[in-house]
Amino acid sequence: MGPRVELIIKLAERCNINCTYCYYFEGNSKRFMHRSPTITQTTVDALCNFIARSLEQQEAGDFRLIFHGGEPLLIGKKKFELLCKQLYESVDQTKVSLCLQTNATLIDSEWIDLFQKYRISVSMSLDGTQPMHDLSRVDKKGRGTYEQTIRGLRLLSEAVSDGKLDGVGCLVVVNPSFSGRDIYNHIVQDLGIRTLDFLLPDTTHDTFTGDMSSFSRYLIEVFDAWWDQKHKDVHLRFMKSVVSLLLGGPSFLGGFGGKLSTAFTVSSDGDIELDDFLRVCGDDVIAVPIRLSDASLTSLTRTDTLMKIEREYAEIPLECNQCAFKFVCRGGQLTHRFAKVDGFIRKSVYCGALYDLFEHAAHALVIDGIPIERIANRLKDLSPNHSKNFKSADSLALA
Amino acid sequence: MADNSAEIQDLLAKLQKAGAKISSEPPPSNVSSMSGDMLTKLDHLKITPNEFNAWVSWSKSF
Repeated sequence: MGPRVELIIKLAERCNINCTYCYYFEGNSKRFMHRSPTITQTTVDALCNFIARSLEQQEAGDFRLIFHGGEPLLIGKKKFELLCKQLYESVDQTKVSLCLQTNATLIDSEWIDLFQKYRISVSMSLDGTQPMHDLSRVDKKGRGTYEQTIRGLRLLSEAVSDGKLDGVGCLVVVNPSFSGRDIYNHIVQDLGIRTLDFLLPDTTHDTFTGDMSSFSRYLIEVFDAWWDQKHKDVHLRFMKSVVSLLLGGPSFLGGFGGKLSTAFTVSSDGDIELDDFLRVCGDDVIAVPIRLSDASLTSLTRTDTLMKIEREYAEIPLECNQCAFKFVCRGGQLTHRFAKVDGFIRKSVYCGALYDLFEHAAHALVIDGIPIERIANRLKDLSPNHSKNFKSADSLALA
Repeated sequence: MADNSAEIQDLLAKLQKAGAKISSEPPPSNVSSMSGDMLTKLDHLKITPNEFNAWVSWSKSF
């Protein structure tokens, strides 16, 4: 059986809000301007054919489709339903799971019904308390979107309570000028979200500016807030990956601490690019010279660009040679290792913060009774259950 | 070529100190129906036995 393949589907290449840090619209790439605002029927047809073909030829074991944007709900309800219906009619439903990443501002009861009908796992973007959220996540007139986002979250939460949806996930972009603990507590305790992740800001060695000590402090605050509640079944992907890696397990975050996930991005017009999170590295890095209508999964995984990235990511950066966590961290997250001049061979721009976080987490484990020998073996790359063939789960959505 | 063994030793020494500090502290006296090791662990975690069982299960999931 083939691997799980993730496809990030750009249902809409436009957004109804205007986040200041958006990697898609505020970055250097302006490709979206030349693409259809919403996914074309030709692309939907090609997508269904591609999935059916890949499953039939056993190139893929199953697919996870992440409906993305821009804001994916801008596709409109009618077109969204037709797309889901066509997908489920054209491929084995047990081999495809559907997820959606939204800013939640457009959600209403009719959207909830569609999410329920087509078993969509929903994850939303929320940056924390209102002052923090409204600082960056603003509408086209610069006004904060917290209230609209919370209105959408309430509808989602009610649907979870009513058994219509399995749960709702939440992505938070780290802003170290705030307290990590406050942000965590607001999302988990005040808003009741149990599946979430904190994303370090998209940046590379060409663009990073910031105070590393503030990132260290923030991440440790988040870790401690989560660790205090570990018995309450809160799934925080980044921190869960940190603990898992220290104990010889897999990373749950693609491009961090292990093997890359198999993920591609499909534009509204049917162009294919590598995993969307690499976009910050530049158009030339993510470009794939094959259109969806002509692609086989094998041809996609053998493109020069992807193979070069895989080669570079497989090597632990030389700069990490003396680091105690080199076999755990492996140089950090893929995008944060990038520099235009030499690709992905450097250690993470967040190296100092990651080191502090791993050390802090190791202490927490020891204090909780995990044998030091287990951590020592992992640091020395001697863990018996440590596999270099990590499986990484790259989507926060509740599949 | 330099490796990371020296830094690992430094780190393990720090972890050893953290572990030793926990194991050397006496169990609380207000709960008497559990073993000493468990009492010590629960006291430091400041959680109930049920919550601790959930944590053991959770930590095994990795």
